[in-house]
Amino acid sequence: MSKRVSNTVRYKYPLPIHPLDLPQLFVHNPISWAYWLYSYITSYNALSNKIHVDITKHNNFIHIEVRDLADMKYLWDRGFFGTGQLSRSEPTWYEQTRKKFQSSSDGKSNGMSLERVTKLRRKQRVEFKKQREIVEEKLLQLRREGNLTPEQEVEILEQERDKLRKFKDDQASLHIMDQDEDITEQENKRLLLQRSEILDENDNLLNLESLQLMPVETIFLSFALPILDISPVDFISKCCLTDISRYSEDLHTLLIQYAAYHHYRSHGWCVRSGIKFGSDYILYKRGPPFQHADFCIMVLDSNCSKPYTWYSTIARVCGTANKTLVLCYVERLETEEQILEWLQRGQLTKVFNSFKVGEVIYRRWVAGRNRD
Amino acid sequence: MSTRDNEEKSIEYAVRTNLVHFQNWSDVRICDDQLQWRERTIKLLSGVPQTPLANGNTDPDGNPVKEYLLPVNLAQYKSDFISIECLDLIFDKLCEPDTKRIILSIVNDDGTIVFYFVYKGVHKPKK
Repeated sequence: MSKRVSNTVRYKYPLPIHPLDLPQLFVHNPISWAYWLYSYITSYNALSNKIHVDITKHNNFIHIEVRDLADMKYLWDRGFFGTGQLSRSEPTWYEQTRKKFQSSSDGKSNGMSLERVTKLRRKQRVEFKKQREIVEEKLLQLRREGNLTPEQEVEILEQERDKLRKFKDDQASLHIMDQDEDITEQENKRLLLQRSEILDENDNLLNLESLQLMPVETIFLSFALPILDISPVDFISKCCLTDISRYSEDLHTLLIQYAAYHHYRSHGWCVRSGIKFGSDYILYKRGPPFQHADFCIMVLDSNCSKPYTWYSTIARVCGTANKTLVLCYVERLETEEQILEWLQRGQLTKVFNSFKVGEVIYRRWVAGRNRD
Repeated sequence: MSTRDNEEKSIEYAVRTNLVHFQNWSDVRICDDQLQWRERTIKLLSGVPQTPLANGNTDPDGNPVKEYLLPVNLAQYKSDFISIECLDLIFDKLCEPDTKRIILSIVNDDGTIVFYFVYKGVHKPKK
């Protein structure tokens, strides 16, 4: 059984850079000086090898993937970069599948993965809703028959509610839904097919999942913190459909998206894709394992103006998810020609320095409720 | 790029892998029928979810039945690609008659796939 590593230890480094771990220096002790110097000279805070990424393009759709398991873990643990394509966010598919198909011998494992916990909760909720439906059906039936006095109705309602409450408590305390149900034929067929695609001839588990990086993450990890084995300028021109001799719409979008991404990363936020909330990015104070994201970011060109319904729609979605909507306006301060010239010369620092970021928080306000 | 590589990088294939190996669907297929829409080829996927989806049909024993999925990538979705006209064509040409809904499967540039129901006509909302 693996020992559980606490999150604070596992996610010690917020970005893929490490300060040197130097021993304590005792000023009056020359041996300590010698040891300190030795440690200083021999320690090394860069990666020994750059991380390899595969970049492929299909129908103008770009894929940036890291396939090495150790590299995937490295990028996730240090700043939560990338998404596992077959997981919720952290690439856990390999571990989970290994547990599912290869450790049936040791029976119950106590390492309960997040996905399993969620599955269990969902199952409980479905079961609860079924019960609730039965109760509602019963009440409706009684009402239709029409021989209920209002007092009787209240009494029955109260009784049924108590029953439901008790059902919910029982579920939680007994984990009654956590039993493996009998495997049906259909399920067996599915498992067989799944298994046939993930095992090689020698029954070794193939890793189907890679860590996919967003284009902005790829620029960040090759320009701001150069740890990927690609050149950011080459990557940018690959990303845009045309070469970088023309200031295209795609190029502009990519540049302002990156300017915003870099802005939040450099202010210490963990920035991840906001697709699930209909926004460009979401911001975590530290990272997904620690708390929910607090902010949804919409990246807009500084002179962009949208119809009112556009803002209210997004604000409502973010509000329901308990997040604050931030409109992040990015302004270009230099001419298109100047930007292109710098890009072609590979002077990315100058390129990104010519973008300015300004923010507006958009929040629904209700006169009667928001009085404090 | 070889045909096989090409195939494996397509969004249809990305959705297929996600359904088979993450969502645990069965009988997942990339459908043979296809249609041309604004210089793009649209192909659907079909498959059976592990448990009945919200508002979904079930067979007499309460098991989930086949659902259709329309894979798009987010960049496509932004540029007014999916219109009513396009959806009508999809329901008419690519689905079995009486199909009530398809599942829009949006593939994002970070590898996440998000799913949305698209109903033909008005439909009673979920409880």
